[in-house]
Amino acid sequence: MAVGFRRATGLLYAYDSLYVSSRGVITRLHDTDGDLVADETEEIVTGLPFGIFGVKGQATEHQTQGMRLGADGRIYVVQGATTDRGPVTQQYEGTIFSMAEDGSDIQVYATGFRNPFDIDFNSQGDMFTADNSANVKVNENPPDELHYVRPDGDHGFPDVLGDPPAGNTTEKPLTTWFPPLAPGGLEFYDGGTLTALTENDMLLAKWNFLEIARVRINRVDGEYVFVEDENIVVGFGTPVTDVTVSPNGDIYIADWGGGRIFRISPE
Amino acid sequence: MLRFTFEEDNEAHGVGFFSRGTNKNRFDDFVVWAASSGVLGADTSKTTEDDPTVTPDGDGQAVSTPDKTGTGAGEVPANNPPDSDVSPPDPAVIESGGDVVAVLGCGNCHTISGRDDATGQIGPPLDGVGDRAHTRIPGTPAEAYIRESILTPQAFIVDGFPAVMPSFEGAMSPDELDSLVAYLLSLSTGDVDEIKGVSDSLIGGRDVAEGRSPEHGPIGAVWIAEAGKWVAGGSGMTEVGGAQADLRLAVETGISHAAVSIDLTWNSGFAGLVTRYTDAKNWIMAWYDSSGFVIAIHSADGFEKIERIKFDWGDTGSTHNLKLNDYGDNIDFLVDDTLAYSFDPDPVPDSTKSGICSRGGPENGFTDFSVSESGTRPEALDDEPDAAPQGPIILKPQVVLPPDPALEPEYVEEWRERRKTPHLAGSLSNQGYKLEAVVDEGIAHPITLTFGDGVLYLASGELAELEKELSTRSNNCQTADSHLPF
Repeated sequence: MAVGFRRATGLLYAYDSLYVSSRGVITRLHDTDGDLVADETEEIVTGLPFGIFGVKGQATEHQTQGMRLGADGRIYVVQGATTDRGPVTQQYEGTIFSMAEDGSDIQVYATGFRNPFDIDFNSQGDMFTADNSANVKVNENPPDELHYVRPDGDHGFPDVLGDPPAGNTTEKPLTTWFPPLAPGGLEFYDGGTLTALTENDMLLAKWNFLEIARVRINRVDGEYVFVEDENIVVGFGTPVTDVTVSPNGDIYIADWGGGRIFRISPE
Repeated sequence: MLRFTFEEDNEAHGVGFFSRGTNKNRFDDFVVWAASSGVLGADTSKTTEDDPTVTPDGDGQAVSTPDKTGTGAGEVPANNPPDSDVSPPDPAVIESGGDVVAVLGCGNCHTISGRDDATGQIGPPLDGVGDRAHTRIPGTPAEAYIRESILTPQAFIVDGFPAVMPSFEGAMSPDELDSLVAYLLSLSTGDVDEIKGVSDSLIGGRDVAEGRSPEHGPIGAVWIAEAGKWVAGGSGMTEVGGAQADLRLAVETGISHAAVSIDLTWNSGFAGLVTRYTDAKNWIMAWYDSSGFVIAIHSADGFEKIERIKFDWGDTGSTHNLKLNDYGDNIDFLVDDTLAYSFDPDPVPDSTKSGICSRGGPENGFTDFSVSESGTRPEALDDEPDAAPQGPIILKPQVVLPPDPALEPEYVEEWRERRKTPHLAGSLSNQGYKLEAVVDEGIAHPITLTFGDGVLYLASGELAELEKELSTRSNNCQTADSHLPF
């Protein structure tokens, strides 16, 4: 449909357009004649932060990532911090922000993220994400974090890695993972063909372990609780980056390393 | 710049260490001469028993005791090696010797490459005479041979040349003669074939070198002045066919932000550079190895972070320049001025030692090992190399696109061979579900997927950092402490 993006890591189809997030830019593509080739291409947001290769402390892969359409009609966007461990110095770094469909009216929704690859809303309209941990250092093993994204909440980065210490008021992860699994794309299973899954199951691509998991998140007494995670596809041999659900409920998996796309469907 | 050659200055004429010995698994026979200044030597007849500068530690490994006082002149170790009375070549002397050549008209009969006034064809060419002089008359050292060739040229006539050279005795002062001899000795072609015969005149270096070969015995590297080369070798290579030996040689340079550079003719194993060398557990190294990868390791208290990056070096035997540019926080590894890997080490080892590392055959020859201040990091490196064009390809489910050359890395085939057939697990197994590849070819690297209006959209492309991770993983390195991709 279009080429030339710099590391496109987020896609969202909304408003009859394909939104693409890449390094520093969100682009809107529109196919006016149905030939699956973009006829209108517009960079609707530019100047977003991203990590620059070779600059001290910066992490190349950190940038604008996953996007979702909110129930309020606004588009929600993951914006990674540019560094491994801070400091956070640029506007929108380490946040999830929302914007109007034309990229205007950007508003910060939540803060304190390092570099989540993706976000999704559950059936209740609440947002979740899985944040990638800081790089392991000697005698320091920061874990990956599963978060309910609380509106206006500070989710810890860069001051807190992992569970917040006593007295710290940043959002506590629903769970943490160590060794880091390097969470990639994630999506709630909203129902359909695969009845073994529920709407409380969040599908998650585990880059480090070459697996797809389901992460069960229940709501107990008004608070979200991590129940369990379980591998549901294993043995790719190479890293996987994303998982998504088709309108009828089949699961599609991006096997990044193997150059394949897999589908899970009923026999 | 510290350039570890004879030409640098009067104090440091190179650095090196050398090994000998028959015990392949211990350092007992490991000999290293090292000090900060003065004339040093490596004597391959020495052993630890009679060399107080080398003391076996508790593990039986030899450790050298460097001069801690820096680079002051005249601080020659008390136990001078036997050849320490050889005067150090002085660049000024060599230069004046070159002037003598012009005055006497040597070039009317002899050729010296690079000199317009020395293109004669009557006598033998003088290029490389410093390499081969010692081989002409058995038992006659190089300097004596050259001196004799000037004063009594008829004493030895090179095969194939007429005996027509007159004696130049009395044609110049003793000082001029000395300088002419020094100049001729400095003429080197770097011919590797000559190295073995001149190893007795090895010159030590400013500070300490460390040799490690826990499995294969003593090893070392020497600067062969006459040949103008570094040569790495050791008993593991010379006595055990096919065995390998590690070499780590770190030199106190006094430069904290160093740019270390070698020109390397690489033949087997690996060879590269080390910087920020504090001790055996704390250092940064980067090298090229024969499997076609750049290997970069940062060791902090023995906790090694390893990156393996595919990198096209070319054929063995080819010569390339390696640089390790240490900007303090960032350390770039360049092969032929192409950025191969950039470190962002944390913590940064507090050290002003840099050097070379090697494993492999004895002809991983180093030349021009030099250390200078790194200066300012070029802005050209402030973005990732090889940012491949990428973007969404549009796919209808189960439609396979033809391969897109722009998105096919050269080693995608390698990955395809590595990829395996996944299977359903956990709650999804035994449910009557199937897992199938709906796209099996045609996409190098799908990154993210989304559905829209019945169409599956896909963004694909390269993720440079991710490739490193993949390389690491594919070689069964650790996962938990490797660099995380996102």
